[in-house]
Amino acid sequence: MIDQQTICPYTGLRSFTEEESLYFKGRDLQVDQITSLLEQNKFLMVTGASGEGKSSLIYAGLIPNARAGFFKAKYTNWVVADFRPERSPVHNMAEALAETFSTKTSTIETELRRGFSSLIDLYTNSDFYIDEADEHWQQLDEPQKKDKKRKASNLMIIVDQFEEFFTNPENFYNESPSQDSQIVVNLVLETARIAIKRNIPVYIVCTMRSDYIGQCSAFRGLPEFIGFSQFFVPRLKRRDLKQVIEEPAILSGNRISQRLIERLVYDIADGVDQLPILQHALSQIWLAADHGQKEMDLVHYAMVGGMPANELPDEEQPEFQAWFNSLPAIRQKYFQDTGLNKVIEIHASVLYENAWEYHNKTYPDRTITQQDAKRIIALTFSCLTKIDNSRAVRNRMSLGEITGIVNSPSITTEVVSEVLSIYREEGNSFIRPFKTEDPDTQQISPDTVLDITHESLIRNWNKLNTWANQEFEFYTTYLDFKKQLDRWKHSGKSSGFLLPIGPLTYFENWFVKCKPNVGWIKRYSEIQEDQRKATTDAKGELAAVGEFIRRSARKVPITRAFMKYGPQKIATVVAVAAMIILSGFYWYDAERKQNNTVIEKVRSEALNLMKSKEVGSNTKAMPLLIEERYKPGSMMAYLNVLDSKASLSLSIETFKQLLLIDKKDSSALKSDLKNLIQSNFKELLSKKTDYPFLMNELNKFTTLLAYDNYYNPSSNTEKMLQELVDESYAVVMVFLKTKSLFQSSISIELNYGIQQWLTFGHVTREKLNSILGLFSPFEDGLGKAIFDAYYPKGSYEINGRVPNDFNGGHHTLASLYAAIGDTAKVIQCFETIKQTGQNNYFTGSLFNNYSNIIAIIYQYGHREKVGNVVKWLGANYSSNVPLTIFRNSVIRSGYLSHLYEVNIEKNILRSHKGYFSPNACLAKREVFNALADDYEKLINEIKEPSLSHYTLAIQKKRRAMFDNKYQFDRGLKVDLSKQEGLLQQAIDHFRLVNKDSLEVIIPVTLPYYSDGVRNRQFKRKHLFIYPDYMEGWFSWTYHSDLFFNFIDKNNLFEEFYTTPADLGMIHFWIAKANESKPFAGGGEAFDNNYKLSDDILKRILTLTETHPQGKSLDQNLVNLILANRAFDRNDTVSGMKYYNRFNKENFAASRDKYEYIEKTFFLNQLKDLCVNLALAGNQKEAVGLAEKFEKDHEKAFAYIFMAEKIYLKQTDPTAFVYLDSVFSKSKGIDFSQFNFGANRAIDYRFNLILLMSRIGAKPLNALSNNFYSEIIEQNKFGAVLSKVYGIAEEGNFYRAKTAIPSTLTETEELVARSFIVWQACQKKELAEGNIKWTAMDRFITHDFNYIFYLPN
Amino acid sequence: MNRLDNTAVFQPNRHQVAMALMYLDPEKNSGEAYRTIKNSSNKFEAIWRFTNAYAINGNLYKAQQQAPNLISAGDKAGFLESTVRGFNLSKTKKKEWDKFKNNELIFSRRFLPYVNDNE
Repeated sequence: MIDQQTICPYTGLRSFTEEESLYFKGRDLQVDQITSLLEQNKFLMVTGASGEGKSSLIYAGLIPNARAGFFKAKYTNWVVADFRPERSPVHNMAEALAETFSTKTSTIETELRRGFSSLIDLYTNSDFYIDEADEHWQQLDEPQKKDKKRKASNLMIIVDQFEEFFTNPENFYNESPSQDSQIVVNLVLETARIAIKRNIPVYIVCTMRSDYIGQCSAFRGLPEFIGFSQFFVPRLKRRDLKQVIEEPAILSGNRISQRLIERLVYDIADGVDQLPILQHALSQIWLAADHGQKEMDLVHYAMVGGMPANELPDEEQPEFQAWFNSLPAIRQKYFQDTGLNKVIEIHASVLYENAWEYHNKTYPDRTITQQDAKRIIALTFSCLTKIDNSRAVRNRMSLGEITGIVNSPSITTEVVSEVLSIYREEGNSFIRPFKTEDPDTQQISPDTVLDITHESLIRNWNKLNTWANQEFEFYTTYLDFKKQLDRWKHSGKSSGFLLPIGPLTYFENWFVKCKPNVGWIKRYSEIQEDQRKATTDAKGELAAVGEFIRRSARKVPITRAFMKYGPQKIATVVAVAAMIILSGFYWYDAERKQNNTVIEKVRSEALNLMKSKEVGSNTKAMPLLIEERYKPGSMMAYLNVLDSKASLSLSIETFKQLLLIDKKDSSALKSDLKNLIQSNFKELLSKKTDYPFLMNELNKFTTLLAYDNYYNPSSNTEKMLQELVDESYAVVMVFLKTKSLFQSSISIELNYGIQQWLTFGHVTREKLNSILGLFSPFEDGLGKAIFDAYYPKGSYEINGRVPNDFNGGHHTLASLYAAIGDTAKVIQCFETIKQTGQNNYFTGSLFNNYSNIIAIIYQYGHREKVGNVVKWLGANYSSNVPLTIFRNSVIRSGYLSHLYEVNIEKNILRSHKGYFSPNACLAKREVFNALADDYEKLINEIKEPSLSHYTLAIQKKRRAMFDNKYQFDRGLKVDLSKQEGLLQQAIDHFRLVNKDSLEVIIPVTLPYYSDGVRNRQFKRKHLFIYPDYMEGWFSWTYHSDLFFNFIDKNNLFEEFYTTPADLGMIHFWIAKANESKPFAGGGEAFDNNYKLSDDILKRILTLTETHPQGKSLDQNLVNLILANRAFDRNDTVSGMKYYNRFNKENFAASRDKYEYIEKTFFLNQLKDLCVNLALAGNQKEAVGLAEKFEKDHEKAFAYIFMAEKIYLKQTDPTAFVYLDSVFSKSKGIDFSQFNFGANRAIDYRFNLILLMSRIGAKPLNALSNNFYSEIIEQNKFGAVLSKVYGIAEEGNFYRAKTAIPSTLTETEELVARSFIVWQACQKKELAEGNIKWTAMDRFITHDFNYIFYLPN
Repeated sequence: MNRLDNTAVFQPNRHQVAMALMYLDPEKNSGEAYRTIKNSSNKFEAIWRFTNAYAINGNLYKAQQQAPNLISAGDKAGFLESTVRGFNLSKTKKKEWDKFKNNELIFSRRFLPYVNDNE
């Protein structure tokens, strides 16, 4: 039995459904009237004011009446197909009919589009209709006829909310109906016409707001039908209203007091929305009366804000007061103004205030701020409303579209859906689709279309009304703005059409308040079928809006600065600037020089420079890629017309450039280049000449291919690599056979060629014997003579820091013997090395040494023979105990070392030169595993249990971390369970180590910036609990969060981190994780790319609160990073939260905690935070932080970036105040300190010139020239690039071109020109709304944005 | 590849050639001297010498004209100094200056910047 008392008999804002007809009261007469009209006319247009109950009259009145047999029609059964036109009327109609006729929507849709009589055909051909004149019918026997008759039904088609044909722009645009609208209306009218003519039981009912009646004339034939059969829903009389209130309560077993009924009837005012307001108030009263458990009375009416408390009878006052006092203050304030028409207002506003709390309770793992929740709600409701001919009406929109307009990276469709969920709950049904008990309705998808339940909400909720009006104002301002924008666009973006200062300020205010984004522009753009195109167009439009405002603002910056700050301040700060300003300011408009013509000229000049033999291929690569970006297809076309040698060199350099820009590059360009390079090699090798060139290029390219294949594993690359190193072998053989080919630098290339072949090639015993036979002095024959020619004593191969005698020939020989498995000969090579005094080979930090040889022994399956070599090493060098040998080999084979950079960019490292052979890691993974296994066996043999357990603990951890890094680097599936298993073993061993032993301090080598190392000392315990692996020049100090997560997951913090020093290891790890390298060349391409997530950083902050020693953990670095990341994703609230947690007064200790690379990162974060604060409008805080920098040049950097970002992003004149600050700081700086050496990195004038050129007005250009000229000639080119880049970005290519001085070298001229083309590419992409090549932009701008504050 | 075959890298000998051309006859050889150092990244060292050469030959106006536009005060001083020094060299006859004169061009005449071809 159903518990009737739990059913609310009132519908709130939504209309009555057929099932609720029992409670639908007060309209008996009208139901009879419309029934009889429809019987007669077969068509009926039900009109009435909004909120008069048109839909309810049909659904809860007409339909149940018909089904109950009060409708005289051909059959007793009824089938109803109802739909709303919404945005796709044909589809919606088809969907409704498909359900009725149990057919596919698509089939019906095709049918409907076929012709206007198709609906009648559909019906008459269905089982619902019997054509008694039909022969087939007459031939049926009686039972069959009976069966048919049972199925026969009349058809009622309901077009609810007919006004949507006029309110949705998809249906009605520019005062004319869309094709789909016409199809549906014609179908409806034609169906009615045929039904009448042929007396077919098909009935059409439409409901429409009466204020749209005039617009119906847009459809031919419709006004006639309306004139023929229309029903206007009258307002309810007081008697009927009483029925509406009382009877549903009685029928559902609820109780309602007479005094409440009287009061409600009394309170109902004349005007619109009478019924929705009443229904909504009743549903709220029912809820307030404990879901109808109590008798609904005045006190409940007061609780929902329908009447003031002082009008309550005395006996109800205490109950109300007790309840009222329990409310939070914010809710109480809504009761200051009460009334029946305020119930909606109060209800919706309370939900608005509480939505975030409700959300955070429902989704405790995904909390959200109150501000974000309010923003989502406000934007959603203003999206769901629009002003149409001065009427606020509903505007349906999908969840995805709304999320696009909210436009915040952290606010996904899921978040929006969750926040809105409160408005979809039963009892709060303000937004459709409602949430019901059906689990499918709990979450909505991005495609779900949302809709306000009833327009009365818009009229009665003041907040929504304000939002809607403000949105309308934004929109109308946009229309105004668009007119100006279009004029400017049509004039070819001429500066004559830019905005003058008055309108500019007006539209800037609009821009700042409205914050238009792609979603918003799309909302108001012309309707387009193709969504992708609509998005692209909107992106282009948004870019144009920004550009128009920026350009306009650039025209008047000085005027503006004067208006806002007065000339006094500027004049006192920098006399030169003031002088220029006071001498008259005007805009130097050279833009008429026609950018397009200029860019063509610049490109053709660049192309000429590309032909110069005095410009290196390495320089030409980037301009070539920029040209490809400007004109797709040009790169290959250019390379194909070069002769094969030039083509080969340049293709290899371009391929390298692509990898440096993005090591994970997967573009087609890369494969095109590879194929071209391969075919060039083929051609050149077949000529059998120019072997030194070929050897060099083969080494260069196989190095790049190996790098590419490491980060982007592919069988094709691997195959190509194998084929090319086989060619290297063949070329090496040519050299060794032809002594006359010797030249001083070739032996080193031969060594590397042999190493590449051994690592990747088809190596056979026969080939190995051939080569050894040719040049090994340890073999019979002529080998010694060749060896002496290519590897004479006194010739050196640089091997990292140490030169190896004999051109490193013995290491090469040892490698070849190792591949054969002839360890006796390997030892013979070692003996020679030792005897010639090259002890460093066995004890020093070299790029290549015995470890490579051991790895080759493993690679070629001679594992069992390695013992001899290890024994020899141990016997001859006491520091080389087997454990050390294996540990070093394991470290070298874990993953691709950052030192590989030296093979790609020769001479990039400061003190280490030569090739570094990474065969241990690149040959095959089995080498690492086998070395690790054998190392672990050796560890097990250690007699002292504590040492054995500790060494195993570190090794297991090392193995897990290395495997994880290797898989991450290569994009392979991470085998987490195996790695966690290893970490568990590590922990198990660690727990068995004796406590004293853990206190022992041991030295470790850590890699640092470039080829630098740091020798540090750590307690054994700390080395293990460091939340990563560190030790060894060839590996990083930071890899991933694998170990940290493992510790966290297993709740081991308290066990392992007991002292502040223990927690300090976590801090050190964070510093290492963010050890960004200052220069782009060796930046991302050779850096560690595993980003530490916000969650990990937040977890560390939690530790500071929950861990007994947590307070000792320095939070500043973490807060800085989190603040900047939050600001970057526009989450200002969190940004400010972390900023406030940052200790601004005493952060020097955090800044100076580590060395210069870590400190540089800290200072960059600090600078970024200044910028973010300024962008968020917190100017005081931003300036306060900028002043915290120690030195004037550091402060100047902060101000430059603040000025630049707020100028570029917001066109905010405060930029000029910051610029003033830079000038002010400049007064005390001796710029000569920046002239030489590494100090050039802290010469902020390059950034300042860039900024001033970006702003671009004439006085600033002149000022910029003052700084420019004072840069000494040796450093001038950097300033030239800043200037060219800034001016080109500002949009004047002609001036950018003329800023290139004639004193440059061709290399510099090419680079400067390519900067202009690069900017032209960006502008083109921005205008097309199709931003590409972001990795290239990041690469080029890296050094401008990341400041190397403390060059060592 | 040997440095001489790879014209894309710095060719130190070009400075010497260009300076020699200018000391010989700046009026006649100026065009060729500038073409010679076009792709030299540190060409200002050579241009100072060009100024010097003009000054030695008595053309102080041309000597000053060699200084590019928009240069720093320090660089400008260098050009002025080179002009004055050249002018003095052409004028001074006193014997005590002989040693100075002889050492003056030491870096361009006697100490040549040889480079390691293997790098």
